[in-house]
Amino acid sequence: MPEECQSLLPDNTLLIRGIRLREINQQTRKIKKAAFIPRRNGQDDDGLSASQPAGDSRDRLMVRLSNAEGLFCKFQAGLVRAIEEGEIRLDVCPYPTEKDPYHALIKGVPTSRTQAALATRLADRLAAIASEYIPP
Amino acid sequence: MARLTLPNVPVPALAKSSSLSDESVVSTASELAEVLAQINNLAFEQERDDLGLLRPSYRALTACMKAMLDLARDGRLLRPSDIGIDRNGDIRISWAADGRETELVFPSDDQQEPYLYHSTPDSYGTETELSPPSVSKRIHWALRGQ
Repeated sequence: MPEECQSLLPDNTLLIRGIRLREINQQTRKIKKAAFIPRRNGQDDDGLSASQPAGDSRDRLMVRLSNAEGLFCKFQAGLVRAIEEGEIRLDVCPYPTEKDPYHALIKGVPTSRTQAALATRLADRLAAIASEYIPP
Repeated sequence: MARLTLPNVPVPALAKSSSLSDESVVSTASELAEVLAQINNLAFEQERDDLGLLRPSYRALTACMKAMLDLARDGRLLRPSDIGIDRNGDIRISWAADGRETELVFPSDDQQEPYLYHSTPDSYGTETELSPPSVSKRIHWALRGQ
C-alpha cells in the first residue's frame, strides 16, 4: 500500500460516495453492493470515486459530487484499507479535481469482465462498511 | 408507466417434498406478475443519470425475462430478495439468507454473458451454467444452506 495515500488521507477520514435511492435497501436501509460495482466503460479504471463531506450541505454535495439525486453513503478510509481478497488490498487516495478538491479514489477494484466475481465481492465488502450519510 | 401484460404461463404447484415454505415459491399468476413487473419497470427508467446507466439493454431484459419464465415454468422460481440494476445497466436478481447469497446477473453489455454470483462470508465465485435446475439448486443453497 502506498504510504503516501495513508498520510494524505488518514484512516480516520470520513468519506462519502454518491448513491441512488434504489441502491439503499428500503427495509434495512443498508447500502447495496450495486453502489460499488465498477463501471466497465473505462470511467472507473482509475478507481471508484469518493469524497469528503467537508461540512457541506446536500445542495453543495450534489454539485460537487455530481449526484442530482442528493443521496450519499459514508465510510471510513481505514475500513476501506482493511478490505483484502486474495492478493488484492484496497486503498483510498486523494485525487482532487477542479470541481471537487476533496475527491478521492478507491483503488484496487478490478473493472475487467474477466474479474467480475472479484469485483462483485469487493463491492459487497465496500457496501458492508458503508451506511447512509445525511448531510447537515 | 406501462403495465406488463402477462402471457398465460402455467405454473406447476410446489412439490410436496420441498422443505421451503410455500410463501417463498412464486406459484400464482399474480405473484409471477409482481416479479416480472419489477423487472419490466427497470426498462422504463431514463437511460442514464450522473452515476451511470439506469436502464437495462434489450439483451439484458430479454435474457432476464426468459430466465425467470424458465424457472417459473419448472416451478422453481422463489421470490427474490432483491431486484435491481447496477451502474452498468446490468440487471441483478438476488436471493439471500444467513450470509449466503445467490445473484443472477444479466449484463447490458453485448460482450458478457449472463452469470450467477454466489457468496458466503468465507467464499465467493461465479457460474455460467444457468439451466433452471442449476440456478434452482443455487437459490435453494442461498435460502436454506443446502
